[in-house]
Amino acid sequence: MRILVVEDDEILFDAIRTGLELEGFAVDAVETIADAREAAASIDYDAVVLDIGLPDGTGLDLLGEWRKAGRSVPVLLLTAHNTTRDRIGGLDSGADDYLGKPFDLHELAARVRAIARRSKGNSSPALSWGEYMLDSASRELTRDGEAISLSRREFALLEALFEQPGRIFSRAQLEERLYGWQDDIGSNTVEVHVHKLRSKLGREVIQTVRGQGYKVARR
Amino acid sequence: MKSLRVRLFVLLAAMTVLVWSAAAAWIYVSTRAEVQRVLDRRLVEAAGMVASLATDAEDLLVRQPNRSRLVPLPRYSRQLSCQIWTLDGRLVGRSSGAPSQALADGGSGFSERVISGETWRVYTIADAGRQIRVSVGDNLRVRQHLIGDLMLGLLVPAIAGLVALAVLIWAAVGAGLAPLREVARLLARRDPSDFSVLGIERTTEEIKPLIAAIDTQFARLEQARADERHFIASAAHELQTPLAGLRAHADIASMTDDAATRGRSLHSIRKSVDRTARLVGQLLDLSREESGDPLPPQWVSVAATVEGLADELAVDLRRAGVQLIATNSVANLDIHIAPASFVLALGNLIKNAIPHSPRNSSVKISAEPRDDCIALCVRDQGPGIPHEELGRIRGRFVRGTRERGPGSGLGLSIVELVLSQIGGVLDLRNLSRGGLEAAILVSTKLTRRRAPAPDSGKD
Repeated sequence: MRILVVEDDEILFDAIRTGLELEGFAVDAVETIADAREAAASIDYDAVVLDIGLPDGTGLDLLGEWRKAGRSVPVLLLTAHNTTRDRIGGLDSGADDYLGKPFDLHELAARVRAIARRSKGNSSPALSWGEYMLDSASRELTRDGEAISLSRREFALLEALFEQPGRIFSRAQLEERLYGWQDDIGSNTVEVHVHKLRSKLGREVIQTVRGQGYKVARR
Repeated sequence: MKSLRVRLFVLLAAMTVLVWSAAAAWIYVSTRAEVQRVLDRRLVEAAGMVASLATDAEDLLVRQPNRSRLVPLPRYSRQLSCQIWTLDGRLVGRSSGAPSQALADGGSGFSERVISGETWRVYTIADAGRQIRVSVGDNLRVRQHLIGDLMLGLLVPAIAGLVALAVLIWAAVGAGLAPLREVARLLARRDPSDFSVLGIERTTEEIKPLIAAIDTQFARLEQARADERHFIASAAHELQTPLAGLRAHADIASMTDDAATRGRSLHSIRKSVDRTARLVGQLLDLSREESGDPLPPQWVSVAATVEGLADELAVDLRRAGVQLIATNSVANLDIHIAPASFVLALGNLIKNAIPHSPRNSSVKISAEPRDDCIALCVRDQGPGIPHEELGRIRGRFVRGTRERGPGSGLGLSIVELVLSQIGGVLDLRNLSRGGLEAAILVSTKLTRRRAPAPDSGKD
């Protein structure tokens, strides 16, 4: 799951990026509204973590701008202004969730997963596909109750496919979802992950659509 | 006296009684004199009348040798007593009620005599031709009664009037103080945290300034409280961010198995603690400077202060690879300021300059005359402040977009607060050849040049 973090405090910025990466997200982090606007224009993020107090304006302005333009990317507001009135104001201006500083990193990760999931129409944290069950909170894949161990990227790739069965993801789309800017992407990394997944799950789960990409069958 | 109403009442009542008493005394004295004059006049007339009716002494003695009471004397008011004596001392006639002792002896004119405890005022006509002396007298007790009755007639209505006046004064004072009571009532009913204006528009001229003063004070308090609330809220928010960083890095350190990641997090935690400590320190500085109890100014050497700061910041300077240089222009310069405040102001400017300075650059402190001020400049070789941010950068908790140091956005506020206490100004400008110049402008009167010491200056 690829997310954008907009936070100007150097230390917190670093902490959120590191922490969310440990939670399995591909994180892009920027410090200003201008950079955030640019990043969101080129990449379709699964969720945005947006600080309100930024050097070149408030996160609420950017949020208003996006909502006005009809962009429905799920946004979690992160702020030191944590009164009920602030929360109401934030939610009313189009935020999907609101978290006051300081916060628990696990909670931030869980909330980001939740808003991203809801935006795709899933309300349960577990994605099921046939006998497979993918729990994004505990980051576990089970087949008929039996756990299958996956790497962070393998999990993220499978999660993307399970979220929208039947949809074909191009290699570029999957790369975008799996890696942040600072990650080094080898030329055939997606293929490597697909190959490993097939060896763990069997060949029939992930289908190759020649010339287009990968999908899992609609069930 | 506790009640304004009682105070006013007592004052007004006392003055009324005083005026009335003076008037009564005056009336008493003048009435008495007038009554004396009128009654004396009557004595004279009565004596003249009796004297004109009397024949000579021989005749009177022949006609009524021993029955003086039967002498047909005119019957005046009972107040009057009349005696007719022969000049050789025989009583030939007297009015009823007149004493048998002589009212007077001697010649014509007024006299007073006490007869059986009663004082008589007597007018006597001695007629040598007819050998008689006519005396007409007034009993003074009766005169006193008359005056007493007159005065009583005046005093009774006066006292009744005083009582009525007292009631009226009490009521009038009460009515007169009504606007004050209204103000007091409004003030008493207010919520202690309510600093809105009183909202009394129609009132008396005398109370208007009072209400205006109260309203102004309320407005000032309200503003001060709003400022304080804003400041506390901002301070609290500013603390939230480094705390959030601390918390998040602590979470990471406990989550990860990777030693490098944990090491990075621990390093960040240290940095975050330093920053929080710096922010708290600055808040304390600010509250100390704002306490309105400024430290006493004295002559402070700029060069010595810079040297002290260079020692204090030695670690930061070395780590940033920055050299702090005091130019010759400050070598023998003194400023009249509280030493601790000066260290605070100059220290904040230098601490701002260090993180923005490239490695192997310098932060220079120099002094130069500018108009009627001395400008004490801190110049760095960093990127400067974007033009559009120069205006708002001094605000509390405002951090520049290029700011990467451990700043809290309070430093410049502290500098300005310190300078405001000596009438100084902070001037920020980007230098044309790059870098920022932060100048402390103080009046020339607050600076002096000492005779240069032989070893002064480094540059």
